[in-house]
Amino acid sequence: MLLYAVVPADATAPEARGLAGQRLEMIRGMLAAVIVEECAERLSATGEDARSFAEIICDLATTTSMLPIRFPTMLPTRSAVLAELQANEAAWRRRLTELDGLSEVVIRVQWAEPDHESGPASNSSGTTYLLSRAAVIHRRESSVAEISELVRAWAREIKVLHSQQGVRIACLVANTDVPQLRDAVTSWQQARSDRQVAVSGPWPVFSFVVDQEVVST
Amino acid sequence: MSDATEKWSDNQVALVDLIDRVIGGGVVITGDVVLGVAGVDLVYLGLRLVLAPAHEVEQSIALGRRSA
Amino acid sequence: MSVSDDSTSPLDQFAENTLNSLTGRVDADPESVERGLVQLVLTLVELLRQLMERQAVRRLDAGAMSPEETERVGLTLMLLEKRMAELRDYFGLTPEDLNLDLGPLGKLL
Repeated sequence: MLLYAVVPADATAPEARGLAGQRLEMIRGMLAAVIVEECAERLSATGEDARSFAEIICDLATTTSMLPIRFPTMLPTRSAVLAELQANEAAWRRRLTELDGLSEVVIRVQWAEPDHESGPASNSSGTTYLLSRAAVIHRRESSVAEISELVRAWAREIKVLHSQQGVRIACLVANTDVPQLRDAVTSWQQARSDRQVAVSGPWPVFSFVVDQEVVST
Repeated sequence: MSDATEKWSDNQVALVDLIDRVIGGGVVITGDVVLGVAGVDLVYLGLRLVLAPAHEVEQSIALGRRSA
Repeated sequence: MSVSDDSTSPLDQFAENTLNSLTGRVDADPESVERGLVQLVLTLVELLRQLMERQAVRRLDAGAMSPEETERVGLTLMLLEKRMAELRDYFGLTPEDLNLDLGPLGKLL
């Protein structure tokens, strides 16, 4: 079965269908539950599937607080799911409570010149190369620092995501604060013409399912 | 979108970010993950066990035994 | 495994590449086990490259390198990046393929 999300044990069962067209079910533990879909076979996970999964998750998030589960995660039996619940539901339930009313917003900053030269190196010297790498690293780091400072009023947590080009920063924000955060980022960008900024979300809290403070339980 | 040289619209960028989060974020369940005997997963799990601190390794092993 | 054709949008292609790199494959044949291993090794090398690059930039910022050292370190990193690109091409991997979640290792950056 394909796993969708962790929800509180007393959450209402979902009415929707999943990727494979089957009704979504809840497997309940004592404190938390997992939303699953019975699938006959292992998925051939495609971009389309990921997109459908994302849409289903976003819909589910409007009905209940949840921790989305990484896609694609499949377990063979109900008892396997129950075993995971037993092992983790206390921590999951705690985190669900902490994340109630919060969403994720992703801020993406990109510069006109790419971070990596794709063609043969035009730099003839090691020094020029290192200086250009330093410039890329500096602009990324200063953007991260500036944005972190900028969103501090609204972002409970921040996570710098990997990015091939530019920087991406995930922010954990109260739903009610999202418009203000967007406005602040827009103003920030307007003062800087050499870069583009995009804010996406609010989304379910993909990047914040684990409390950063907790190393392991 | 049509022209590959055009930069993606905001919606496309947002969708890319969302899909990235769906497969790169979320709760990670590392018990009996039935994705088959797949090269990347196997080796990655092994790596986690090899490089994780001792108490995490014990936990992983205990979890693996329970799910088996 | 889905087959891409000319009508696949850049978005779909990106999503598919990323998905394939993370989940590795659909089938469990020896070739893909090998490919997964290569992918992991190159991801580690790429991580090291980024670490070294970052370290070099720190030292540059701190004025802790002589001009000769700067030249030497820069050249080494440049050649390393070039070599990485060649290895990726050789194994048919994209930069996104080397974006594996390395768990605790990933936090080194």
